[in-house]
Amino acid sequence: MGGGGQSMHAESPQDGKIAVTGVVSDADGPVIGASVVEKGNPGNGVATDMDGKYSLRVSPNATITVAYLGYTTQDVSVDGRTSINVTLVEGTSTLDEVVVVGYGVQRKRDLTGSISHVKGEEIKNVAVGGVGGAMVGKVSGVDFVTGGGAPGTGPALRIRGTGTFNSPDPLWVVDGVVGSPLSNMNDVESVEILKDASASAIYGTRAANGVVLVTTKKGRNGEKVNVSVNAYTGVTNLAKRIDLLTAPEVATLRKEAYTINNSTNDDYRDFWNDPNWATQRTDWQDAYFDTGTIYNVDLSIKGGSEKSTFYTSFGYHKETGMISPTLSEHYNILLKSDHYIHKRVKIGQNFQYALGKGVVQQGSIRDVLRYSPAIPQINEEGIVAGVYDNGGSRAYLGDINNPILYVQNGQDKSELNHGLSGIVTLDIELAQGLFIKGNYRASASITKKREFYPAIAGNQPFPRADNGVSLSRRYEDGYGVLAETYATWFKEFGQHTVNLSGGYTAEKGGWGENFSAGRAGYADESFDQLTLSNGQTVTGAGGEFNNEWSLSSWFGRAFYSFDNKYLLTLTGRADGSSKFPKGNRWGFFPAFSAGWRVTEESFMQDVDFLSNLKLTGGWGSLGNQAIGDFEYLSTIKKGAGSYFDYNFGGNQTSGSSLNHLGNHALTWERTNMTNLALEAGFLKNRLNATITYFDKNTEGMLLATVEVGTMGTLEIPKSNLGEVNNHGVELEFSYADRVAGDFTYAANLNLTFIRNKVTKLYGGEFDKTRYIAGDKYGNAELVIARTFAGDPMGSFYGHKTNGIYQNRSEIDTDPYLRNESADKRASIQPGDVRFVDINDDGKVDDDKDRTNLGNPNPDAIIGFNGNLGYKGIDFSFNVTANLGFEIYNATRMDGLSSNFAYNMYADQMGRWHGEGTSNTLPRMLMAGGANANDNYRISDLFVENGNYLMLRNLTLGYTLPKNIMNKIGVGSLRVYVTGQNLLVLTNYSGFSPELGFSDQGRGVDVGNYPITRVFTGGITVDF
Amino acid sequence: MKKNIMICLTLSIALSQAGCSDFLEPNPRGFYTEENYFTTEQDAINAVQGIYGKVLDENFAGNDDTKYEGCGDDILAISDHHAWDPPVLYFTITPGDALLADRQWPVKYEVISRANLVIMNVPNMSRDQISEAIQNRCVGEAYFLRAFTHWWLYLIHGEIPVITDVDVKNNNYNKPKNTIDEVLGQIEYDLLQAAALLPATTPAAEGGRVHKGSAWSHLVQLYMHWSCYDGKDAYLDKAIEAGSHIIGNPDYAMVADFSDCFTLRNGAINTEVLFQLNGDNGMEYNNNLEKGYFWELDGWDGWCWYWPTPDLVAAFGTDPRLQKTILRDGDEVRTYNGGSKTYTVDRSPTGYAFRKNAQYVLTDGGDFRHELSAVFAIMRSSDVYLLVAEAKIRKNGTGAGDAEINAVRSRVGATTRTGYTAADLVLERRLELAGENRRFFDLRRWDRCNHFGGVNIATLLSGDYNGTARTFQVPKHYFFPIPQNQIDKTGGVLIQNPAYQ
Repeated sequence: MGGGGQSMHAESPQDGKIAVTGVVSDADGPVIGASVVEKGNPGNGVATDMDGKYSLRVSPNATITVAYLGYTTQDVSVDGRTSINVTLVEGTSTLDEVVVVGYGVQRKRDLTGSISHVKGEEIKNVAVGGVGGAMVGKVSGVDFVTGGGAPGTGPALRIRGTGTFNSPDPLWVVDGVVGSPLSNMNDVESVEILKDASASAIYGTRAANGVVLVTTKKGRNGEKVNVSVNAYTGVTNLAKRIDLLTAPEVATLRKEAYTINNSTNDDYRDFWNDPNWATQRTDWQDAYFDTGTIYNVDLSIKGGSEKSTFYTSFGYHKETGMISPTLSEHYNILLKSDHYIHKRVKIGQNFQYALGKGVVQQGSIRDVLRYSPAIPQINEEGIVAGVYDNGGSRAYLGDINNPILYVQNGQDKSELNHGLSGIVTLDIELAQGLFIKGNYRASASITKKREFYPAIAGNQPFPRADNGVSLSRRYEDGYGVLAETYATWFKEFGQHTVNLSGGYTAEKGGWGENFSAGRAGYADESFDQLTLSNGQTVTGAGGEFNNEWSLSSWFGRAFYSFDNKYLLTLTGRADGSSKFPKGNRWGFFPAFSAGWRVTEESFMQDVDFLSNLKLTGGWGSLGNQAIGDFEYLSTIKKGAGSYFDYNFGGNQTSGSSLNHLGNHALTWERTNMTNLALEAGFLKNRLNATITYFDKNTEGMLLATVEVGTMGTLEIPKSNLGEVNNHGVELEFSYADRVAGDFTYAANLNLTFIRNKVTKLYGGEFDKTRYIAGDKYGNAELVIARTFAGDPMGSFYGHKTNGIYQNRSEIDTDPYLRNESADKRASIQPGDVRFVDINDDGKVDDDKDRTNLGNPNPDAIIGFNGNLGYKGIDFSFNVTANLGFEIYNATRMDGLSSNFAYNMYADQMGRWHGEGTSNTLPRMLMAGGANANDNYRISDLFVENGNYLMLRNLTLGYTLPKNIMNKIGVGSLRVYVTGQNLLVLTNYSGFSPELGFSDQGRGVDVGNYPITRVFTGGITVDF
Repeated sequence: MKKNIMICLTLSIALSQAGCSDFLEPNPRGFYTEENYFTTEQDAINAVQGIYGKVLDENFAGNDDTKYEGCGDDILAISDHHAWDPPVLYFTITPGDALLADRQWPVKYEVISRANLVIMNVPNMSRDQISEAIQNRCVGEAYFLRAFTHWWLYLIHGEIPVITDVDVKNNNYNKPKNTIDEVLGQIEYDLLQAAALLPATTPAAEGGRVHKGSAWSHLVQLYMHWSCYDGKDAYLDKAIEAGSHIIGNPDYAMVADFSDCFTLRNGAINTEVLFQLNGDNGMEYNNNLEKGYFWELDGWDGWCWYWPTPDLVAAFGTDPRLQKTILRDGDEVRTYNGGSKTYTVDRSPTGYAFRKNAQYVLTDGGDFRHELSAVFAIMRSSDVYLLVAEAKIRKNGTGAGDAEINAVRSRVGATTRTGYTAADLVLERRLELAGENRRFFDLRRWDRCNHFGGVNIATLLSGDYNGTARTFQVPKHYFFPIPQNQIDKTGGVLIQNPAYQ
């Protein structure tokens, strides 16, 4: 133990600090990733590199603390030395790791709030889903709700449940500054997720949905220049297909419908007797889904001198989707540097530029599942066919377009984004442990959108021959500035440790403008000729200023610990927002938490198996201001409007129109959270376990005010009405060990159990008259998800069913129908669905016999991941599971409805077609014919168990031996293969139990872009 | 060294605090908010204009309120193609089929909403933004129109939620009903504010704006209705007092020719018409006043729905107002720009049509068309004379209202006498105000008031109506139900009139 090495005074002439370098090793050689931190200044620390080397700037009389998982932490006095090598011995240590918290850092052992930590190393090279997607399964308490499989789509993060209907997304803070998620995940050094109120209260009004702190990589003082090149490529494809009817099966079933419905529609009969329509020609899923591709290259250069460090990275990522022409393409540049301009003054520069291009899906997946299999993809003329040119087919095959028609004809819906952000940071050391810090950021974004609809030529007579060739363009820009200054003070004296921070932040954003224009009629539809000027008729032109908002806040945090046993953190933030009326503009968001490190007590010293035991608990209040900018004010336009003009004394005059009603009583949505946690380390902290209970209540949730007549006829403002509760338990277990130097392994299991309930909407919990409507589905605009007070968010709502009527007598004697008219009973046929008369009034009606059919929010979210390393080989896996939730398979509901003219799911072969043939799938109906019983109304027939277990990631890598590499001038070289979404175990019958996400439509399968299976292979070279 | 640090420190604090004083003030661009809109006199005037504009809505005074006239015994209302009419006209109305009122409900509250915006903001404008005269006028107009709208909600439903500027500030729209006293009390307050703030008269160039006479006359009407509730006789004195601002005041004198009140066009005014709605020739259809179409004859551009009953025609006897009010077979119809057509009995299901309320214009082709700029009289001085006479008869008995009744009769050249009874007053109002949407609400008021003048509404309004038997139930049909749709939206806050529960 202890440090040896040269002892040479090399004090920097300007700042009195010296750069200390050295190697950290253990009995087997260099230790990679050990933390080396200046004692008493947790912000000043580094991790050792591939060679176990570190470099740190400290004053000559400082002490450095060296720590690594599974080893005893060592404090080494610098004593003016510039080179200190440290040899570690096995022991305990992780508690001395430093964790990034809002506006500062803290030692892990001092934490009293609830924070999850993910190392950049764990999420590198995940090909799809972005930084959010890469973290799936790695942390507890976070529900990663997939956004579907379209290129460039990442999951939505719901930290500790969905707390509100208003932007439940967490706040992203990149390198200490509020920002947006980073697109190049290989720039990430670490991610911290602040989950409870105590941890996130420093972000006050913006923290109600949790905070994600991303720290990017940086160079280190004294580090030699390191160039790293990483590239991978791969393919994506559809993980599962839906079985559909073949053309002969369709014809058979359609003929059956004619017979059992006693139809006299002879055109219908003749159509289906035509063998042309019983000839299988196209599998539209084959025609539509292709193989997608992924390319990724990123390059980073970093290094540092005595006074300056830099990190430069360039990233390029391209995904082409399995549905043509979907695309996502990104270029990212990150330029960072830090400079000591004075021995106690450091400035930092951080410049990010991202260029993104996206092409979104055109054809509808619902159409793919519904288009007639008897229609050839290419017709006799060699062109992509619409519905086959045969008079009247529309009525029998359905009024939809060939799903690949528009794509093939050059339809284009794309978007180009530029994002720019420049940050200057300031770090002044006023005295030992006392710092003044500042962050100053300007950012800009420009988005250009383009939409082009081609002509659908006349030689494809059906459907919707479209001559309205139109191009529309839209331009939007937005700007923001942020300035914040704060002070931090860290002091240890005797048994007392104090860590204070506080400051002021002001942010203004949202200003900018948008304009759009469109023209129709293009003589030449080739891409290069599609400019607005070449269009003949103007179809639209408009533009507006964006709404500007501002936020001004004071924040502070005080941490105190006594004897390293008793910990207390007090946090508060006062926020003022332009989004609220003057009297309600400022909100104060306090939080406190306390901790007791039981293992530090003397009576615990003899308990060997327990290396760490900490009990923490806290409470806090957070805000959410995610609402429109002028909700509290009535808005007025000058100039004429309907019923604003008047003739006074013979003079026509125009009035001003009031067009949005303000809610003058609007205020913050508030989330109060209680957190209790027990953290334990066993086996010298090789095994760590944390169990956390949380209870999170959102109050005054802003909801669209129920439109009551007394408001008049205007657009109505939101009101602080709703309440939501999320409570649950999080468990995290991690185990890591190193066996005899060559063999390392680690595993991490996390489980999250969450209960979500909307406790109040417009009335009390039992007010069943009002609900929040989910997204509308299909042409009939069905509202499948309806959130009533007392139910989980987005619960499905509809009829319960009890089998299929097998014969006439079952209908006539059904107590569910006892008070229905004879006509009504006669209209129901054997083979129809038996809907349950829930209120037992002898009638089945829409308004009284519908109920909650299921909950799309999982009860349990599980992640299990780990890695193994042996010599140069590394292997990692990640398995996740979501349990205890339902999916409403709306796509199947339509796919089974014989009342539509479209193709159907293959399940339809199991329909009822005579007594005893089926008790789950109703009889065939005539397409477009009578459907008196409305068999395909929203019911539990289409509710499925969503439980799944997914092998989300599997990576195998090999790092070539160093001695070989060094000979060819390469520092290190690693090759790897990765598979994503490889295996799904589920009973869910749709494409995937992970659906594209919308806040109001979670768990309703509407035929979104299915998630893809991804295979990639790549190489990383460090020079 | 220290200096450098201080420079950095200063700089950082300066950056953070930049523009701090009004940092949180929003900066709307491309539109206005109520906070930055009201900056000039014209802004206030334009905002007020929007209130008047909405009163013209066909779901409010522009047409729908006229339907209730058909509930009385003067008018046979026929508009087969509207499902919402029969339940009102035949007294079969239920909360579920109160569709007419359902159309009207949000439109009326929209007028109130526009008025509240003015009441909340214009009084805060500074003297360099707006002159005192215009400020008072604008606020007075808003109070008047808020009162007028609440009044019409009251006439139809009785107890309704009153929405004032205080409710707007508290975002308190989902309110339970106010009591009759609260509703009428709010209307009284608003009208008194209007009476204090508005100018005595309106110049011709601003014809159509309300003035003190509008407010006082509506106060008289309010008090007379209020006085019919138990224990509210004291309001008779208030009615008489309010009426004293009209009666004998040359600013509000009855005009020599009764007909002049019904032939005003293009924003023209006279002293007798105390509140009017102005049509306009040039505005888009949607902004225009449709009222006239429903009184004008089919073939002459009208879609006539309202026909005088034979009973009404008989009531006129030889009264000179018959000729000025009703068209009988062979009557000549003229327009202001010439032309003449003859009314024939076959045009009407009752044999009669209204001359009042129907204004035609002669086209170049010799046809009659609807006169788009026709002015509709909503309140006239003669109404006030008769309301005051009614108050006096109720207080002091037969003969107490002679002066006012004779003033009204002599203006039209009818015989005068003394000793008018309550029944005489009832008849006089019927003839003077026929077709002006007074009769049904008058009958209700008199019936409630111990059958004043012998009026028994259940008898008068029960029987055959356009071939359908109808029954007026007292007190159920004094008011109509609040539309179920509106009740449903409130989630139980709004409670139905008990007579319809």
